[in-house]
Amino acid sequence: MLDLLKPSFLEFQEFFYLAGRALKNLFRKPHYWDDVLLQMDVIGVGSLPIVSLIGAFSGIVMALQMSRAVAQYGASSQTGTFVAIVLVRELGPVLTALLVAGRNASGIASEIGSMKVTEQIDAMRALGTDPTQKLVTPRMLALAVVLPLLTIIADFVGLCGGFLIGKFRLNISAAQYWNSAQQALVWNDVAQGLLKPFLFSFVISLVGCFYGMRTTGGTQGVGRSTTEAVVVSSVWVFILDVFITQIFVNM
Amino acid sequence: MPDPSATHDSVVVFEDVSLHFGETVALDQVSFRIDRGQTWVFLGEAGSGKTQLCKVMMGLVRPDSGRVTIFGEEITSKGERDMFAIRSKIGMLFQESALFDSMTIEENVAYPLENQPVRHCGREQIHDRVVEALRFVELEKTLDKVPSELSGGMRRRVGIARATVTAPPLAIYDSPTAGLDPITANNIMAFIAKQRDLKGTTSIIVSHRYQDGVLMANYYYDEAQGRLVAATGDRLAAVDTTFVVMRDGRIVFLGPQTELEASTDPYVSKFGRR
Repeated sequence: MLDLLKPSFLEFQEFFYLAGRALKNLFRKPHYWDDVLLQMDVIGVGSLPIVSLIGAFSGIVMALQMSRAVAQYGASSQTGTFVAIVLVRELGPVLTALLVAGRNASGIASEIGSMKVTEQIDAMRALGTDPTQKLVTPRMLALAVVLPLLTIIADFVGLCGGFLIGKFRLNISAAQYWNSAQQALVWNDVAQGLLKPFLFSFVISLVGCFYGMRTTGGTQGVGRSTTEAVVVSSVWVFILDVFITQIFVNM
Repeated sequence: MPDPSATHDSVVVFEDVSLHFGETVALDQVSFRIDRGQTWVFLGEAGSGKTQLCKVMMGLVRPDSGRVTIFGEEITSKGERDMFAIRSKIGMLFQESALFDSMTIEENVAYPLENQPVRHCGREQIHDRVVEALRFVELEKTLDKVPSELSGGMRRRVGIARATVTAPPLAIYDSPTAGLDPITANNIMAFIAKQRDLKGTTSIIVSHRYQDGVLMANYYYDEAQGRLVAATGDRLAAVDTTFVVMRDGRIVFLGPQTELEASTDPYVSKFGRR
């Protein structure tokens, strides 16, 4: 049993070692701001279409589902309330994080993984740069900025999607929909809706970098780490979500 | 085995260096001493520990035991950040060149000049230095290309330019001719000899081709003629070349070319045949 757990513990330890180094690099020179901006563009701007699309659809589906459920209590006019709460607290952050995990944890892991198997990581060290500083920290920083922003956009587009259903299927007026949505949200919701993506961003970037950095065994190895990065980061997004939600529900 | 005690002239000293990866032995009690201006040729089958030897020398891999001294500094106990100053004195050509494929050739060659903590030249001189290094390997027209547009031999030459752009006193070439046709391979070796003979670089060549070693041991670059010429007499003695044959992480032969060719050991003599 102990032998079974040992590799997982070692992996955990290595992961936190990498995370610690990446965080420490925030306060150490040199800073690669060009790389931070580049990653913001690749991850943030690049994910914008898919995040908006999925955000819109989740808003639409939520409104449709909710309208039927709340119609039983004669509260169809409150659709905006439900869409807003579910979207801002839960669906927006988690769906966005899952999409970005699928799109970018894999991208990060395969990019760094290919660099690892072609000795580019070693070359980087040989030529005077710390790969953690040059590759991991910029990605971590970029994602920490970009993921909350993407979540805000997904939330907003989702609310608009819900509005379309409210307006054209349920005959809720614009004022009623947006008022109920706005009133439903309190600071607590907004806080957890932004804290979640901020924390998820570290999971996604660091897990992607971690599996990229420990890639071995050629192209096959790159494929393996890419898959592992997506699976592990997605699972940890959910696990973390449970804990954060638990804390905020108790507040 | 030479006496591995360090003198001020020794560039690389290995003392009983061992390295394991789980059950596999990469290096087993390896000791040798390389002095300034020498050429060392490491031969051995794939998996005999040659590449790991290079990485230990460069401080990229920490050995499990033993001492490694580079330019008189003990590196086995140094942290990653302290290594950068020592690494800036060593140029390394990686096995598959390891060029950064997201950067142009110019950016690749400029990388050590821009990133090493030791300043080699001012910002405005970087371009000139890069062009000079690429001209040395006759590739000055590829500045704006990316590595994927170049052939294997050209990438290897860019790798040499990147390794030597900072004019390091020590250069390590890991399998410079692997996977190349014989003509291109000889070309690459000519550039390595040129670097050695014009800049006085201490050179370490890791290879599985004996011809590479023979070339380094018996030829020198003649600047007037612009090509390699056979060394004779004093010149031959000046090209101070030592051969090492490795097997399963151990040194099984260490000595000059004549001894290697006279060896009767079946494994060693396999590498001593042209």
